[in-house]
Amino acid sequence: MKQVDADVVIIGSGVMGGLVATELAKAGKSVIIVEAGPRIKRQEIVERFRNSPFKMSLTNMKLQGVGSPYPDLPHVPSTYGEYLQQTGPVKYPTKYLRVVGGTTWHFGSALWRMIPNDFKLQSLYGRGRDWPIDYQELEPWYGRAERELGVSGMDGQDESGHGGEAWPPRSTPFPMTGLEPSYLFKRLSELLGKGGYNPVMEPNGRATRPYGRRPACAGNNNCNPVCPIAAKYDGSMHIDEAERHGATLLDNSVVYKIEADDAGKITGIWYRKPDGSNHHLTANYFVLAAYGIESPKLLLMSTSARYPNGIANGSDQVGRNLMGHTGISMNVMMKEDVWPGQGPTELLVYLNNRDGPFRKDFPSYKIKVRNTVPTADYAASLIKKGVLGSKLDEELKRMSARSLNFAIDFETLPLAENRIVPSKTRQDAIGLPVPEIYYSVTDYWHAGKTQGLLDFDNFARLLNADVSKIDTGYQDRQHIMGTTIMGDDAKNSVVNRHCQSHDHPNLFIAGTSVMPSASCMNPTLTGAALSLRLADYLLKTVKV
Amino acid sequence: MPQNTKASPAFSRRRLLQGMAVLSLSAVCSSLFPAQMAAAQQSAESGFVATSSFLVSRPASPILAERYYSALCRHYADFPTRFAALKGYIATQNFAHVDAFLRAVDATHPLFQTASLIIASWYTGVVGEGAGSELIAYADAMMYLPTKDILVVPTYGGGPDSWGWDPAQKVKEKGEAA
Ligand SMILES: Cc1cc2nc3c(=O)[nH]c(=O)nc-3n(C[C@H](O)[C@H](O)[C@H](O)COP(=O)(O)OP(=O)(O)OC[C@H]3O[C@@H](n4cnc5c(N)ncnc54)[C@H](O)[C@@H]3O)c2cc1C
Ligand code: SF4
Repeated sequence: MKQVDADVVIIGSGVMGGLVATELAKAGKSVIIVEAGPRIKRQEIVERFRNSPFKMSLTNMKLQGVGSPYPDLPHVPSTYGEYLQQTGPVKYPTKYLRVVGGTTWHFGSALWRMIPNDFKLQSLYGRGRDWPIDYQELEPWYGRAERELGVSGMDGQDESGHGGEAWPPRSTPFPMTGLEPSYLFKRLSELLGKGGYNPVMEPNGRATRPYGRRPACAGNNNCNPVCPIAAKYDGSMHIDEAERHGATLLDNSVVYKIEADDAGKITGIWYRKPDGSNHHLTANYFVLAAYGIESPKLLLMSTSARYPNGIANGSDQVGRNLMGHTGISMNVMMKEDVWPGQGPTELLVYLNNRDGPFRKDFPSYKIKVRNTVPTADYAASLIKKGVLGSKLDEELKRMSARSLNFAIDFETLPLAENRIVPSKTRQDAIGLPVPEIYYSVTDYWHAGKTQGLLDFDNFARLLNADVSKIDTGYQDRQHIMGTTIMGDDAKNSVVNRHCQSHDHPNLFIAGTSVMPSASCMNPTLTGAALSLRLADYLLKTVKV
Repeated sequence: MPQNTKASPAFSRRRLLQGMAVLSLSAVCSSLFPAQMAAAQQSAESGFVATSSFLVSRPASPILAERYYSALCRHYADFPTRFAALKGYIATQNFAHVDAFLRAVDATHPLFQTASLIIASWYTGVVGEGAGSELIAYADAMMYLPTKDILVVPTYGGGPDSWGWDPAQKVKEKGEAA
C-alpha cells in the first residue's frame, strides 16, 4: 500500500474512539485520533463548576440550558447554547460535549446491557427493526466492555424487571461489587415493593474499590457535570491509555470532509484548526466515532460529484432513524424524611415494563429515582416565594428530606423522518454548518406515557405522597441512537453487522448511532461492546 | 464554612471587622476598580455585617460580607440607599429575631424586598439576575447549613461508604457523641 499517515485514523476521542484506539495501539498499529475539541483538566472543570452561579442538575432542566463548566469555543460551540437547530414538533436538546474524552465526562454512568428480546423487536412485537446480530453474539463483548469501563453492579439481579432469576445471561460477573444503596433507596424499595414493583440496582461506571487509576466513589453527588475525583469512568481514561500505547491525538482539529475514490475506498479526511487552516490526513482505514449527531452530519457534509448524497449514504439512511429516550417526570412530597441526595446521583430503577407482549402496543420503559442534592433549586424558589427567617431553614430541611423526583425513559422507534442534517442556513464560527434536528413522537410513545402515568399514580399512593408536579413535556434523556443504522441490507442501512460501511469497506462507525433498536436503557455499554467487537474485527479479520 | 466563633461584644467586634476589612482591602485592591474599593470600604463602615447577621440569624463572615456588599452595589445601583433605609428601620425597632421583623413588614414593602435580597445572597451565594448572576460563595452558601451532616455540598463528598444509613439515626448518634 502507498505511504499513508497512519494505519488507522479515528475521528472523535470519546469512549468509542478511545476504546478502538486503545485496542489498535496495543496491537502495535499506528493510530491518529482527530478530535474537534480541546484537552481539559479535571481540576479546572471542578473549579469552574464550583465558581459558577449556575449549578446544573438533572432535576432542573431549566438550569441545564444556562451553562456548563465545559468550554464553549468558537470552533466547538457548546450544545448548551444555540448550536443545535430544532425544526421538529418535539425538541431534541441533547447535550453532548466536544472535548478530548467526549460526552462521558458528564454522563450519569448508568451502564446497562440490553436483554435478548431488545434485539428482535420486529419479529417478536412487530415494531421497529431487528438487529442483524443477537444478544448471544454480543454477550462476550458486553463482558469485556464492563471490564474496560470498570462497571460496578449487583450480580444475580433480574434486570428484565420481573423479580425473577438473573437476566440477561452473562458469562462473566461484574468487575466490581455494587454501590451501597442509600437510605432513600432502601426505604423506597420497601414501600414500592408492596405494590409489586421490583427494585433493580443500576450497574454503573462508579468504582467501588480502586480500579486501575480510579479511586472508589466518595459520594460527591456530582456525576453530572463532573466527578471531582475520577471515580466515575469517562472517555479521557481510554484516550490516556491509547496515548501510552503510542497513539497520537490531534486536538482542536475539526474534521469537515471525508473523501472517497470512485471505487468507494476512503482516501483521506480534511480537518480545520481554530485559525481556519485546513489539513489533510491519509490512512488505510478510518473509524468514525463523533457520536450520533456529528458523525452523520460529517458524512452528509462530505458530498462530491461521485457522492452527491454524502459518504456512506447509498441507502439515504444517514442521519435518519434518530432515536432517544423521550421521557416524563413526577415530583412528589413525602410525609416522612427520606433524604434524596445521599451517595451517588442515581442507582435505583424500576423495570416492570421493560419487556413483554405489551411491546406490541406500548413501548418498554424504565422508571428511575433522581438522587441529586437539591438544595440550590429549593433555596432560590423558597426565597422567591417570600419564605425567610426560621421558616426558610425549616422548609429547606423539609423539602430536601421529602421531595422526590421520578423520571421515566421510554423506548422510541427508528422513524425515517426523525433525522439530523447539516443546516443550509446557519454555520459556526469556522464556517461549518450546524446540525439541524427534526424529531417527533408517535401514538406508540403516547400509549407508553398513558401507562407510565398509571405507575406514577401507584407510586404516589404506595409512598403516601402528594404529587406536586407531573411533566409530560417530552424530556430529552441524552441518548442518541440510530443515525447510522446497522443492518444486513445495504438498501436500508448504513453499516453492516461489523459496523462497516456498506458503501466503503475501509470505513467503520463506532458508537450508539449504529443501534437498530433503542430499548429503554442507557446505550453507552452497548456502544462500547460494539466498538470493542469492531476493533477485534479490524485486527483479526480485516488485518489492518 | 461561615465562622462559628462566639459573638463578641458589639463594640470590639466592630473594631475587629474594620481592621479586617482594611487588611483584605489592601490585599486585593490591585484587582478592584476604585468604585468597588469604595463599596467594600463602605461595607465595613455601613454595618452590613451586623445587619446581615440579624437577617440570617447567625454570625456572618466579615470577609464574605465585604464581597456580598460590593456585589450588591455592583448589581443594584440603589443598593446603598435601600440598605441604609433597612438598617435605619431595624435600628429603631429593636426586634428580638428576624422573624419579628418579617411579621412586622409586609412582603411587598421595599424594606422586606431589600431584606430578602440580602438573605438570598447569603443563602444562595449568588448575587444578580439571570445570565448576569455572579457567584460569591459556594460551599459557604448558608442554604447548605440546615441539611449539614446529612447532605453533602456537591463535589465535597463524605468519602467511600459515607451513606447508606438512616440519616435521622446518624444525626442522633453524632449529636450524642458531641
Ligand atoms: C448529560 C448526559 C448524561 C448521560 N448519561 C448516560 C448514562 O448514564 N448512561 C449511558 O449509557 N449514557 C449516558 N449518556 C450518553 C453517553 O454520554 C454517550 O452514549 C457517549 O458519550 C457516546 O460516546 P461517543 O464516544 O460515541 O461520543 P462522545 O463521547 O460524544 O465523543 C465524541 C467525540 O467526537 C468529537 N467530534 C465530534 N465531531 C467531530 C469532528 N467533526 N471532528 C473531530 N472530532 C469530532 C467530539 O468532540 C467528542 O469528543 C449521557 C449523555 C449526557 C449528555
Ligand atoms: S458520586 Fe461523586 S465520587 Fe461518586 S462517581 Fe459521582 S461524582 Fe464521582
